[in-house]
Amino acid sequence: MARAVIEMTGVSKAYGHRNVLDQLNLTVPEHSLFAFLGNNGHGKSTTIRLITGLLKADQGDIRVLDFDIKKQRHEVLKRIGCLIDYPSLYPNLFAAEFLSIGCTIKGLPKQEIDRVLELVSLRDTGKTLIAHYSLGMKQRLALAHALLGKPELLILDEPTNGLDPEGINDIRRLLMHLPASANCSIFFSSHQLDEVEKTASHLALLRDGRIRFQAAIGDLASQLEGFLCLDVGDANRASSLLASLGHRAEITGANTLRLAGISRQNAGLIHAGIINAGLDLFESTYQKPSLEQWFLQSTDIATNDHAK
Amino acid sequence: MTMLSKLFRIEFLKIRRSLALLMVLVCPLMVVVLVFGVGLKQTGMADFHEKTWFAVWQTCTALWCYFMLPLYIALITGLLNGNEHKNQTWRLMLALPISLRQLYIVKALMAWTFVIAANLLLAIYIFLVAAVLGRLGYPMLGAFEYPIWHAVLAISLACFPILIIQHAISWRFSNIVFPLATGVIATMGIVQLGSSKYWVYYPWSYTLMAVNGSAPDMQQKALLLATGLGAALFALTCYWLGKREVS
Repeated sequence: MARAVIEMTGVSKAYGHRNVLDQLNLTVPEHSLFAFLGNNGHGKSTTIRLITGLLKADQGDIRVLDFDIKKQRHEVLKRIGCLIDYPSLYPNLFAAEFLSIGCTIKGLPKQEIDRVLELVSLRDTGKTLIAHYSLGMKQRLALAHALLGKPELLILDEPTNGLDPEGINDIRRLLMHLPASANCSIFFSSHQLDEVEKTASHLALLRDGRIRFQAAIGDLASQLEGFLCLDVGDANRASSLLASLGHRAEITGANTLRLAGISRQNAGLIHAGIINAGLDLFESTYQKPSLEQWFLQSTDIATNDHAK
Repeated sequence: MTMLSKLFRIEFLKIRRSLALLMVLVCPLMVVVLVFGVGLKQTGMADFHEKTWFAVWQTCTALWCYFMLPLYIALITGLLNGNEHKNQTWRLMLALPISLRQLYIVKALMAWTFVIAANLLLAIYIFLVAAVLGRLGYPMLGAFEYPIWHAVLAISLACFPILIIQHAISWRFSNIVFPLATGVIATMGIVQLGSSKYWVYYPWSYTLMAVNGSAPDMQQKALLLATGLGAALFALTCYWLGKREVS
């Protein structure tokens, strides 16, 4: 089993009387590109601030790169790179000046500035003040700051927030390339579910301060049940037949049906049942739900659970 | 290089091309221009004797102490901390291997450096104007006899408590109105309280008393009070504000 770069056990955090995190458990494996999902206000940013030691947990243990964040915060911060929330930069500085802040504190050589600027394609910005950068450039510069010193772990809070499609694509390519090329693990929160689907290797879903789901993306895909869309001769007859076989079909047109929660194996049995009953089957499409559909479904279930 | 000296360099870097640098040049200049402007208008060239020069130097330091310096301190601490509030860079800084307390200390020292620089510039500006007047034919007897370096040192020490108060407020509140309002309101009380027996309870009056106190023991008392209160406030705010979380 891979070493855990982040290990949170029974972590709780409250602001006054409002519980934001409640007995949260989270394990981020090494070399993973770990997506942290959740709606606004459910504790994603609080979790990230606890991991980076900006906030202190009321209860529970947080270990980052095998260090206890409470007692060895500086050891952790020397080894990780962070981009927390909106790109926080000093507009009156040039990119190289800005990066020299992290470089000086971490005791890195000046060549490191050129290396990270090259990585985020900002090498040619020269004498342009940060104030004149586009949001995408600012985000890339903040990412460059996080990449200083080849961190073992990158923690990014919504790294593509506010970016245009080209900017999102740039960041995505960079993130996908990093775990292998720079030997680092990435933990990032995001609202862009299509992007998570394309980039992440693992994900966790946070809802009401608790982790509702945590797995590798590959495992999630195998667990998800899909939809079967059928084009038949008579939708009503086919629906009755399927009901007798124990499947609830939704009639979507005179000749079309949709069945939810169907595995691939079941799809074959349904096809055989229709054909064996002498009904026409013109077309059958099996669709896996997208991550977005899964997320909406999961958060909806969680909301209903919560309401109960 | 220790972390504090690294942070000090970084703080200097952060204020490049900012208003803080302009203020250090402009604020003492305004006082010198005002005092010499009024002085030259009221006093003819022939009347510029030893006592006049002494009065000019004393008026410059007094105006600086009870009017411009408290406002300048409010402004400079507001700008140094406001830089982080405005750009939301607290999290950026504190996600680096430094502590909140180190940053608080360095920012306080940085603000103090700016105040000492402004005090020195005040002295240099007066020297320069006096030298120019000498070239223009003004009598120079006693022109450079005011104990300005002693005054610069006394002002720099005596302003420490108000610098810490303003720094703590600017650090704590993101809205620059809080530190500026505190500075303006407190400045308004200096003349009234500074001339009463209650001046000891009013840190904003310490600079004026340390330089222009009516007796040498009063000047010493002001310096002692300022040093003691300044150190205590610094330790207290450092402990209290260094414990806060960055949400």
